[in-house]
Amino acid sequence: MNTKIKFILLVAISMLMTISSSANETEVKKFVAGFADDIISIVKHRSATNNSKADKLFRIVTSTFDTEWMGRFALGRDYRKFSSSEKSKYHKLYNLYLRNTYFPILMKYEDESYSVNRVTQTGTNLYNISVVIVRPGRSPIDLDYTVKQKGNRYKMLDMSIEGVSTVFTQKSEFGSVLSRNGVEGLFESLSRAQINGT
Amino acid sequence: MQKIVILLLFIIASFTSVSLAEKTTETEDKYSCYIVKDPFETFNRSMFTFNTTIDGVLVRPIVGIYIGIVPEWPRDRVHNFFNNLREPLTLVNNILQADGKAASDTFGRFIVNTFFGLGGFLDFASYFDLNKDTQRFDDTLSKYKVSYGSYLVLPIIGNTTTRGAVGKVGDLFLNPINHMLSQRQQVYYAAADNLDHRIQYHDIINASKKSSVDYYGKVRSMYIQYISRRNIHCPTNQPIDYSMYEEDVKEDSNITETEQKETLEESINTTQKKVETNEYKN
Repeated sequence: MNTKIKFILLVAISMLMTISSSANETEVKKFVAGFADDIISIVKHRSATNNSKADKLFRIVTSTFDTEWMGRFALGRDYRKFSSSEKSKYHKLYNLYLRNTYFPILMKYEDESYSVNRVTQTGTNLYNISVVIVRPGRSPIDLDYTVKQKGNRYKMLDMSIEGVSTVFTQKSEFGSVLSRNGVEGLFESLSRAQINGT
Repeated sequence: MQKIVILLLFIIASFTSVSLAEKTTETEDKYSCYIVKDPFETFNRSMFTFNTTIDGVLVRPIVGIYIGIVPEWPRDRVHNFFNNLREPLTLVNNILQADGKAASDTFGRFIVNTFFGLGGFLDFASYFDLNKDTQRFDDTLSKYKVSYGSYLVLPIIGNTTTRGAVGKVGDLFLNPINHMLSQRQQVYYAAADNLDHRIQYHDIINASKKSSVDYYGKVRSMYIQYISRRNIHCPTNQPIDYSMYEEDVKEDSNITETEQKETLEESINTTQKKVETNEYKN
């Protein structure tokens, strides 16, 4: 009797887990599609100026991506060596840096459409979403988003274009500046990049 | 000139002997594919500066004028033409990799595009699901589990790895097109082929250069990630597992979510002010 109940319970739990996992995947898919739709609607708005588009995009990007996590990832262990005032200054500069690196890339997706191909759970509350940008008459572009579930909210941690990860690139770049020019050198480079990037 | 070529080949071979010895084993950490190995950084940075200067003075203006004058459609047709000329080398490498399916697809692409696509200007083959997958001797070495070795920047040639440098020498001998051309024609063909690549990456190069905090570091990381994706023994097309960095990215109790929001708002306001005062260039 006990064995039968245990068996039924196990089946029920595994069914619930499957349903919940597939529900999460649908939610994650919706989250990414919503982000893509928002970006496309802003970029396609022909009467808006580039500066107003940039500001709208910046707001969407920073509310969708976990920029605090990304900033910490980009520095890795070196982040812990920063004082709290250095951390605060770093995050401000990092947010502005994101604005100027994401903005030019996203503004180019004017005539493109997209399709969400695959959602893969890669860890606890961690998902990878493969998106293909379809460009008329040209090769498609593969994008991969990494999304983390935090309670009932989702945040993007990374975006890879053709396999090139944003945070891994920043990690290598920032690490190189830190080791060569120190913390102040990194701040100076980040300030320069945000002016150059616009 | 011949002596310089031999010397260059010797240097490449010395670099590569180290790289070839580093065969990837099954137990090797799969994430090592993403780790940048750059023991020649001082040399590489000098070559990178040299190449960037040549590019800025000579190549970039030519590419800029070409993109400015020639519309996208004919530019894409020219790119297709060069892609078609790359197919014979891909076919040789498909055969070396013992990949019959890829070899038949490449052969089919070349025939269809050469005869029905006006010498390769039109890519009809893609309509028959014969998709392009350019393969080089570097990819073949990767297929046989030779690790990329170390990042390397060569004068004029640009980004590569120690394995890639051997691959490039291999491509010179393996490319059937080269056997049909005189030495002078080979040089012209190589220059045109590289220029076509440069045109394709023009926007990415401009955007990366403008937004980088360390241009060399950025290009190096992007290049290593790009080849890692192509490496058969790397976790190709598999999502990155960020959990290996969990220790590095632990939540910082010093920065609360409210403070984070404030930081964000402050950034937006600062940006807005700079936009209003025309501090940013349009």
